[in-house]
Amino acid sequence: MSELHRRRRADSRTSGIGAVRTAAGGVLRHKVQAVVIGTVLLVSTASATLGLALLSVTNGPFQQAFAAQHGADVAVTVNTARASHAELAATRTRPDVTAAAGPFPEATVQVQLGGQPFGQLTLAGRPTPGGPVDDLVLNAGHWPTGPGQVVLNGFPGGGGPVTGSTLAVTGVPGKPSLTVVGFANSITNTADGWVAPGEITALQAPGTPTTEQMLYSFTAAGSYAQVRADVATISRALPAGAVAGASSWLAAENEAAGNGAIMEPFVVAFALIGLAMAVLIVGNVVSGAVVAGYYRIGVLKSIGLTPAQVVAVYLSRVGWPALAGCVAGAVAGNVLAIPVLRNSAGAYGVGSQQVPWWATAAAPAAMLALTMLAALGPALRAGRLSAAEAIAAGRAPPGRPRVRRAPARRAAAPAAPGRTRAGRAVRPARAHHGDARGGRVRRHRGDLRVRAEFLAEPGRASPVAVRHGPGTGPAVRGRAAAPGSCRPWRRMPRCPPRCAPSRARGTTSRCIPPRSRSPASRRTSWRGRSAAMPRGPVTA
Amino acid sequence: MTEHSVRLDGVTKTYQPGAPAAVADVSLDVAAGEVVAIMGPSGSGKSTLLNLIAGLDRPTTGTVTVAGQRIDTLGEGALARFRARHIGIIFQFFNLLDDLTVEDNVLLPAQLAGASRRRARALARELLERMGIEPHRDAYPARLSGGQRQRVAIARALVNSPELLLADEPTGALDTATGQEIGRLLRELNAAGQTLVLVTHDPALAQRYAARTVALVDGQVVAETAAVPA
Repeated sequence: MSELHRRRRADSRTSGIGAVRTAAGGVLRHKVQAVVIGTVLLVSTASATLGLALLSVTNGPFQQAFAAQHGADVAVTVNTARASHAELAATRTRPDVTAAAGPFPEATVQVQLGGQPFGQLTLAGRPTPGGPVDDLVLNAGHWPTGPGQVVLNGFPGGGGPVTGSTLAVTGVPGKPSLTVVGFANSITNTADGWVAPGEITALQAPGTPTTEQMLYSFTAAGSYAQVRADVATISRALPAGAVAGASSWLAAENEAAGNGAIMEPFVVAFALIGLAMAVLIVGNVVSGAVVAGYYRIGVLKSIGLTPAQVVAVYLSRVGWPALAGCVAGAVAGNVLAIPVLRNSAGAYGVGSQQVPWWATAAAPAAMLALTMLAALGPALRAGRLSAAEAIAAGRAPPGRPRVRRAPARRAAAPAAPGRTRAGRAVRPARAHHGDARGGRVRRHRGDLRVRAEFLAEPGRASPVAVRHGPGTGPAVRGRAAAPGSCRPWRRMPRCPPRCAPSRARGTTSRCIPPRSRSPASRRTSWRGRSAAMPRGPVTA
Repeated sequence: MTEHSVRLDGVTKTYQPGAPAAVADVSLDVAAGEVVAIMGPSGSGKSTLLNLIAGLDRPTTGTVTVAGQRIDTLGEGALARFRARHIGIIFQFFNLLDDLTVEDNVLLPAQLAGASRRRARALARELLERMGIEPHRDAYPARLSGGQRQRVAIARALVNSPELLLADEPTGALDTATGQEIGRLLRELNAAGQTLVLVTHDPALAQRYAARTVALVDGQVVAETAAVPA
């Protein structure tokens, strides 16, 4: 085997993982960056989780709750004087009935709250909130455990009764009172409240027929016509006049849709804004973190990291804090969603709403993927750059120079040639970007501020550049290129078309930087500019 | 026949089509164990030439051969692997990784070249000791003086015993005394057989340490002079 082949094989055995781990430097060495990325991901993931949950619950909230609570297609009120329990029980087995609950004793009562009329309530006696049909969701308090207790349909507060309130039943001998012990939700509003089954007898007004409630699910109840047909089927199965009334799920859906229509645009807008902000913030912060590392990437490449290793280094640098942030964000999103979804459920008139499991999984996964993508783009770009370009790009990102005035004391502060506060080299700048009107021009490029002053000294042939940069060395003052050696960018003797006589006093020429130069040529052009500013040793 | 560590054949580097070449048709040979200084005024293309030799940049035309391998045809990955094994680079401003300790800065290229962390650490410590900065191995570069940083950079460049050592203004950011110290160090390395290409525009440095000086002006070699032994 030739020496060349041996070398190539040895080359291909280069260790990747260890070097990448070393080059990444560990999370603890970049605490600030890790904390920023972790926090951004936490907030974004929590926001995305909540946003997805809200989007999910606004997507047919009634239908979701109806399915979850096994809503009743039809609630039938039966006069017990006309139908026996056996006859009622027989209706459960009819072929078009898929599920049934009841019979539950029912009474309609007039009540007062705090001495004021509170209206008419239909109360049903149910031993438990659960069941095969109309599985109630207990929002607050507990289920009635004895006489004198009631659970109301809805949510506490809003100016109405709260847990512990007392409702006085009027028109009934003995004026019984009911203490509100809880709040529950029936998705199809089968009753306004629920008491213990034995309580109903005491709440019946004298002379009123006793009624019981049967709750049914049918094989087909998707339209008013089907519901009417279903009710007719039950009516036919019972003695004539036994069915005193019936309510369908369609009425409940209409009511819920009316409530939700007001809420929905706001909830959807909030959810979408939350998602969009999360995506934007993560993309911006993460890609910014990688772009800020271009100089470092250039150095890594110069000592032998391959483009793939560079990508791995930067993905691992942002990946671990991002993962931690995503996990914490998913937890935070779920916690944050509890009160929000409780309010949302109240607004939609459904029992309860939960963060769907897929939102808890999808939000952190999507945010992590987004983080990786946001990091991957700049990392791949950096990987493709040559090491020299990456170092140059990292030192002074291209862009319009910002004008910044330096305080006089800083102008006089010592500064090492070509050094910044961070100890990095900066691009030397040439001094000849003078203002033909005789003024002074201050340019800011990266960490470097250059003040080119056309000192109006008669006989002084060239402008003087003063470099200001925080550092430790002495400030550098140098004479710019002599008129005869004017070099707009690189080529000293070839620039006359770009040089024009300066109108500044005491100066004889100035060079006009061409505006159409490509970024690549700008990257090299600073070297030429340094000729205008003699200083210590400079790079070619 | 002399073994060439570096061979450049008609190398031209143009950053923009139509623009003047930063390096124009340069042909250059550097023999193994030789110290060559590349000199020229600012903007003459010295650093570009060094970048081309190091594979940090690619020539527009011409061929670059280092340690027997044509590097201008290598892909970025292969080039990086080649650089890790065969070329050590010393920059004017050190280009150390500020978030890594001195030791990690030095051992990283060894790991890239395939050494285990333990082996890389041993190599790094040996070199740091040789450079006289072993006591600072756990320090971060920002805490070191310029001379110490440049020593770390030299240690990093040497950790894989590269065939070729490139130095871009190695004393440019240092005071005179420290610069002389670094110069002596480079001479010692050369005495031990290290091939060295030195970019400088300090004639004294070139005269003192280089066996041959290549003068560049506007990207073209205008003179090659052999140093007169002192």
